[in-house]
Amino acid sequence: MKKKILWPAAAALFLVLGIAAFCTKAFCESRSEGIESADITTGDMNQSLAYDRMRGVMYVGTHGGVLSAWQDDKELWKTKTEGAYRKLVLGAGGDRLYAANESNHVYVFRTSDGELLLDIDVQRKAVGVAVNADESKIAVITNTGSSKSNLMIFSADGTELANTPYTLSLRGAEYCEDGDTLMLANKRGDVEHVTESGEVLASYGANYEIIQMKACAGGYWAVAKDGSWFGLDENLECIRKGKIDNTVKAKISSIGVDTGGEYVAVGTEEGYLFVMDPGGRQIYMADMKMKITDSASDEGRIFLAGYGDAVFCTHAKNLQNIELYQKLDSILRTALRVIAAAFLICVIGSVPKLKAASLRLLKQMWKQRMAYVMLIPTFVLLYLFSYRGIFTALTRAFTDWSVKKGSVAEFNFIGLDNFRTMLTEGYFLIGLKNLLLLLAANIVKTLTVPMAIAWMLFNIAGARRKYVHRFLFVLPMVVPGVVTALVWQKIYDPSIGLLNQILGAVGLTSMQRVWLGDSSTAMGAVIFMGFPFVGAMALLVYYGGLLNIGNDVIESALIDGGTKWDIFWKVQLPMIRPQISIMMTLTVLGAMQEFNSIFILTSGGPGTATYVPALELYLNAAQYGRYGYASALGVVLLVFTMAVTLVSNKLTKERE
Amino acid sequence: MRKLSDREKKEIRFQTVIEIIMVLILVLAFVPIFLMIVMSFKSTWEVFNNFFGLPQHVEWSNYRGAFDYLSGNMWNTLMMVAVAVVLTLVLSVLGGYAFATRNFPGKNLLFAMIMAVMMIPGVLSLAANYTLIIEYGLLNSRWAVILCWITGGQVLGIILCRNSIEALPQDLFEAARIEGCGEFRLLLSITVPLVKPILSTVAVLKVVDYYNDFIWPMMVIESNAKQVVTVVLKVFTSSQDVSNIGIMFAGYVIATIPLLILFLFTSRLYMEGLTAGAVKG
Repeated sequence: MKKKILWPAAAALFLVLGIAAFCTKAFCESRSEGIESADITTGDMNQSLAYDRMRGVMYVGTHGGVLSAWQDDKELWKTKTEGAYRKLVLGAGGDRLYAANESNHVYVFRTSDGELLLDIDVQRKAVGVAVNADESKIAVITNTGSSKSNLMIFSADGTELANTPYTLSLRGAEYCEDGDTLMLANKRGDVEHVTESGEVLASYGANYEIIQMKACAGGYWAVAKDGSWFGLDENLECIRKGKIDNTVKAKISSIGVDTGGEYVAVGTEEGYLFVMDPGGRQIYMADMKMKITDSASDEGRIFLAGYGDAVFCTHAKNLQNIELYQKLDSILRTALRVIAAAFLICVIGSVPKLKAASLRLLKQMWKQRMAYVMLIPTFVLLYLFSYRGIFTALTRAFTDWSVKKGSVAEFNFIGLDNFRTMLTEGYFLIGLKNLLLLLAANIVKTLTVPMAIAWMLFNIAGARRKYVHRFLFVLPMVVPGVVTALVWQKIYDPSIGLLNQILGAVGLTSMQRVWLGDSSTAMGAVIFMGFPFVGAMALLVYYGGLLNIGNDVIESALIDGGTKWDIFWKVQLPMIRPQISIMMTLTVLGAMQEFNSIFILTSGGPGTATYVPALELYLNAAQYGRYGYASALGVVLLVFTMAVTLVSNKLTKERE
Repeated sequence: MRKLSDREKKEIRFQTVIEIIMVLILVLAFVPIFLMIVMSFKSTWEVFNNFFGLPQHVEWSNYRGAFDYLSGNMWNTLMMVAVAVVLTLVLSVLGGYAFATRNFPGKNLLFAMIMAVMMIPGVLSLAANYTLIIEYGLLNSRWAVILCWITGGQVLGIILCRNSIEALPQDLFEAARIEGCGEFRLLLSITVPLVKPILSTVAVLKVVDYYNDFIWPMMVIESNAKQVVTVVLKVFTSSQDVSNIGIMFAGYVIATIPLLILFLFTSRLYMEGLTAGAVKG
């Protein structure tokens, strides 16, 4: 009686344990999210950021002069002008956005709809802008050349109030709380408290060139060239300072702080990101792979603009314990599996019939354990390098998985969007058209020349001659495919290519072409490669088929007075149908996947003249880093190959 | 002298015609190879000024130049292929033996799982496998290439080995087991010698396969020293181009030599292997 209850009780226990572990894991997973990509795509290189915390709206300015407003992944509005947006500042009221643009302008936009309210021509490259608390005055810093700067003050309607020239470049200007004086950071390494006319009231000296200074979290935060950073208050007292632990010799490019002034992020031109905790300890370093140009603060988060089409969000608080959570997460993942297995065993144990059956199975498996041991290496390899890849590709074909969105937390399920892209982007359809052309050509190639040669080999007299001919026909196959493609590339060469040389020698100079470089001949040249198309494999398969036909069949046909020609069409060809269908299937499957020779000959060009889907897949995977899209292309090719295999299987079966 | 009958005359005419056609096709098929060899002995001057003629002055320095450039990668490739082929054979014989002589639960399922790999086009998981290689920390390692080669290569090997071990008399295994022969000894000293022919076929096929691989090594190996010869040839071509055409062609010839030697020694296996691979696959 007691034993009967033991199994179900254990099962229940494991179930509860499993649920608990699952919840803990979900918590850890949410905490192990360090940096995620905000769903903002400007299609340009982002250079400046401003964030409205009240409304949750992000403003992004780009190198190409695009300014856009985003609420989560929704674009609210967008304007386009010339020149890079170097700095965006949100007015204290939240309804005006001040933007400094390198093409000599400072623009003021209405934040609700992006309407241009004011356009100030500052006649120099505007690199910074600040506005005082009641938005009555706008301060602009400009650069001329590498060492001249101006501090210009404008009234709210754009009238110039003051203009102070400097002979060293300014790296940041921010209004103080009084609304009249400013904080100014320069290349020499000073942060100065100045009046609007440039009179220095007080100064703080850092030892190195200041790269960027921003007002955030109630202070003025700056980062210097050597990686040291500091925060100053209104009286130029240092609230905090520190230095990044920089082992990569990076070039500093920007600084960001969260709204509490607790976490500090420093970005570099190479794309390294360093995050410091409230104690000044460096808690995180990551390679974002693109220059970090600007930042915006939020509660416990710092947004960063990447000089590429990316806006990142750093969950600073999570970073503190990220390693711990990540470790816990992976431990729990293993634990969950163990618990699931234990649960299953207990469930099986609670049902007597199942228990008996599984014990029998286990016994049998134990008896045959050697077989499993022998298959372990095979299946370990298949799991690591085949099944996992296939599974990943099949599932992620429906996501926007890419180099930038590399981890599971970052990419999103986008349904059939990838497949829609194939139809709208154009390359796939062009590739498909080329592929059909190649397919048709390859089918003709495998059907004709190899068949003719196989038949001639079969009919030629003398065993020795047969062998020697067969040997010679197969011999060219030893040339590696890459070498063949490279040699043919040389044959098509406009100046030293065999083709043009022959045409020149026989006086047909007018027919000479840049065969691979001309979109009207490139596809033809790709198809013609390998002339006279002695497919060694097809040849051997057909020849084997012909040999398998009994001699008596042919002899009786001969006696009936048939010529060799008749025998081929009426007896031999029908009898080697299975071989033909095998070769057809192989040809079609091969043509869909193969892109080595096209890659070598033309890389798909000129333009898209020789593009094929497999090449598009490779380029997306290896060069553009659009993994999700590449996987979707793979799924389409898989469907095609499956269809071909099924059809050919069905056809052969019907015939039999 | 006996007069030839009509039928014999016709036969002779037929033989002559097909001989001529075959020689014609052979000549055309060998044109790229002749071109490659002739060009490899010409100086750049001769390529431009004596295109069609045989080289008047044989430029052996072309081969020296190409060999200096390629020898490291050649050696590297041969080692990688050798390691991969040996491992492929080990896995093929182990798997083939297990499937052929053992009746274990899940046998059909497992075999179907192996066969499935052949049905699925490799390009499907190109991107996914690339990221997995990074995850495993194998990027820019020779093992990234070797392990993927044998993962795919063992499939045909296991199928061919299973077929040929199943064709052996099964009482042989029973008798050996009754005499107390251990499973691994049975495999090594009885089975392997008996399936040597199929193993050599698999070996030849796989050498050709692996040696010809291009895209995957290009994706996962970054350092030039570890790169395989096919990829290096492509790089080599773009870097030499017009300045040294002879060296370029000499490089092509050098890269062809290993497969040529293999073919000359194993032409029968090579041809049989091709057909076996096609029909079984």
